[in-house]
Amino acid sequence: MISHEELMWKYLDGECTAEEKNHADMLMKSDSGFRMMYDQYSKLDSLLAKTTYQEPTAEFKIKLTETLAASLTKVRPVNQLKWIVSPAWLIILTVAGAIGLIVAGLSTSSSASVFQYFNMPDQRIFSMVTLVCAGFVLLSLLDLFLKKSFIKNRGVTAIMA
Amino acid sequence: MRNQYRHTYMQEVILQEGIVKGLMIGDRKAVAAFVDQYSGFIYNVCHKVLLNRPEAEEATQDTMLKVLKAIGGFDVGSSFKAWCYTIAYRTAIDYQRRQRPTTDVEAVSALAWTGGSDDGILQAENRTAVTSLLRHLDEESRVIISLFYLEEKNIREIEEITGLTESNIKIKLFRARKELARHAPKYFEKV
Repeated sequence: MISHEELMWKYLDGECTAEEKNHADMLMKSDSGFRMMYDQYSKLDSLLAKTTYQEPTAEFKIKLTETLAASLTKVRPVNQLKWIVSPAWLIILTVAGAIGLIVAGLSTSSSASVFQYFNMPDQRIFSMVTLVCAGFVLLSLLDLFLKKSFIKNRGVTAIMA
Repeated sequence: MRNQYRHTYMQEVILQEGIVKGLMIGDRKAVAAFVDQYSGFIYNVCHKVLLNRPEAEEATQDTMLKVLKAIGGFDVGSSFKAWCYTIAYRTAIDYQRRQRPTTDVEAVSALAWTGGSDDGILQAENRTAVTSLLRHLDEESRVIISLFYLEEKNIREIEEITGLTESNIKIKLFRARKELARHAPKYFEKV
């Protein structure tokens, strides 16, 4: 059971359930203390709603626009060249490499010949490139995972410094 | 209601994207749009922490300069409003730490604002009463109360801006309004 005070604010905010609203309506009819509370709280509520927002003056806005425009320098977006280092390229390379290795593995008939196949210099380079790409993909995914919390916090801290 | 919310949300996303891209390439029109769309929000966050008009204006300008300076590092996928909120809140807290004890400048500036009409004077008196009332809360509660009414009681929006959970916001909101209700009778007499 919620307190009368809690019920009153829910009633004024229009957040009461049907049951709570019926209860409040009943108290409004029968309880003079609740009615008095309603008068006081609704007055406070409408006063807060009317006066909380304070519009900055027009002069201040003009001065602010001028100050900001004067300080304006062309800001280069941090992520302008993002597409070049996009993890998408690494993912494509890794998937292509993995498919290549699987096809090569399937096209050989025995484990001995698989070993021979991957022991060839050009295939070793191919396997290495695929593994490096896979490593980059994993690091990129880790970066994406940490980016939101880490960079966001660091960004705000740097601004405040 | 839900469709309306989605529509507004989509509009905001498109607007945000345009402003952020414009600021990144140094477009002056984007600066004007940035001031037009976000100065009110940033000013109100700063004002609720500082409760002082001149300092809130200074903090707002400082916040917007910081946003402009750091826009290259903004993660385009995240909420620009939430990013601005974090910078504004921290900037205002920094200002508050070095704030000098002042007389109630707010009351004077609120009255200077009225333009002489009776409605204006009543509005200024209400504003002064609310500002005095808000002094009973800590900075975070004042900002949450402000966002609650600023975002038309939309908890989800406050969740996105502040990064707090729904239940946390509701608890802070309840405690803050309870405290305000406790002190309100003193100020209602004046209003």
